Amino acid sequence: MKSIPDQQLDAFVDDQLSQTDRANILDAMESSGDARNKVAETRRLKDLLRLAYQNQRPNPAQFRFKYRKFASHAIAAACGALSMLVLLEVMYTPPPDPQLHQQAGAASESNLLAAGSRQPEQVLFHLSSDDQRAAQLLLDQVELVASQYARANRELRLIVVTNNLGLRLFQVGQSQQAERIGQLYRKYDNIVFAACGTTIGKQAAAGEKVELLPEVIVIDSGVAELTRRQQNGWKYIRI
Amino acid sequence: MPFGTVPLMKIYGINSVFNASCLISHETWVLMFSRIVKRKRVQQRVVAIRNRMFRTAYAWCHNYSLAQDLTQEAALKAIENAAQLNDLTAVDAWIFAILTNCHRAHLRKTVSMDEINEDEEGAIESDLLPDRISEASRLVEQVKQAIEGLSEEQRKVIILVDIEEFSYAEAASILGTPIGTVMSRLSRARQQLKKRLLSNPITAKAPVTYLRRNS
Repeated sequence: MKSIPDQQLDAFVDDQLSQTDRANILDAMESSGDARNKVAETRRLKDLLRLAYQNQRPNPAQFRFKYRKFASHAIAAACGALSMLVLLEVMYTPPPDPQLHQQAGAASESNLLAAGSRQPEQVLFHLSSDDQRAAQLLLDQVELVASQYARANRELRLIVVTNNLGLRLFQVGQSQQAERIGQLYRKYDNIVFAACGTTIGKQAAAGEKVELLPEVIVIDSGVAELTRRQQNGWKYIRI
Repeated sequence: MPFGTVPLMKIYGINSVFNASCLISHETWVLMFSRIVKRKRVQQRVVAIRNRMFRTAYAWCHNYSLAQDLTQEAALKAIENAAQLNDLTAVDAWIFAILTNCHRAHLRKTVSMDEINEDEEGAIESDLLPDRISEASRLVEQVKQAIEGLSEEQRKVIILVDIEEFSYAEAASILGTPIGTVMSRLSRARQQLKKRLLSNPITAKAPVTYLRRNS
């Protein structure tokens, strides 16, 4: 029996051989005590080395990788993209509208409105009676607020919610203010007229035919809408 | 929405703004994407195997703080050069190759080093009972001395193969040598270590009992 070279035995211990080579070595080891000894020694050596170094651990505090370099690249790229957009915007801005200048002049008159935050003002009007004077008053106030904010060039969102008997304000044939609502709707694009869906449902169940003005949208429930919007910072005005 | 895009959309229509992405070719997108993937993968692997990297570096140089520096340096280099990674399945070997290069560069820089014994800093934590600790630490000392007796190249090979369990092919790619060289160095290193350790009463009969761990 010829002896097996040491490198073959090493490869056997390190599990680097193909299956046939492995089988050959195993066969040869059966007859060769020398090969068995060598394999055992190599195994023992491997274990000794692992034992000696297995508990070597780095100090964890030293390993904090910082990616500052990458971050700076990203910031530079973002700045580049942003400046491109700004440049494009500056190049293609349409010529200024002369009306805007007039509005700006008017804005300086009402300092009270111009001062303060730039957040859009959110106002909620609520009507639940069919009193004609109340309806008129409501629309007066809506128009007043809307015109003031438009003059001051401040952002405003305005919703008029009607429910119960107040719904009559929005019904074709019942409302005496239909024309005025149309005017307001066309003049200001930030006013929404909303009718309570629950009330409409009740009236329909009672056999009444409900036909709403074309400017009016239907919401789920007037009360729910009112409470939700108040929670979101809308100012509530009841007429 | 980034500042400035809304007026652009009004002027050109939304689609024309997004179609600007077509100005960058498909190949460039793939390249940029693969860079990100590689970087992410290398970052994950570096964090996962940093203890192994340290252990290897320590076994190569037997200097606690140097091993830490080498590990840190190799980790940062790996992350920085993640784009050069070719084979995503061999990330570990690639990182260890960087570690090897860092160690080589260090050896080239410093011809001789002042050794400071820092065994207390890098004290060996052991699961053994107190009466076994001294025995175990003597054994560790013997093994370390024997390893120090090897040549630089032999030491690198035997640590990679025996402790980190890299295959011969991986060790060859890490060290940048042919596989035959790895095998002959390993064989010679083992012969030398056997002569020293297996004739030594402390190491020859020491109980070697621990759980095998693949990390």
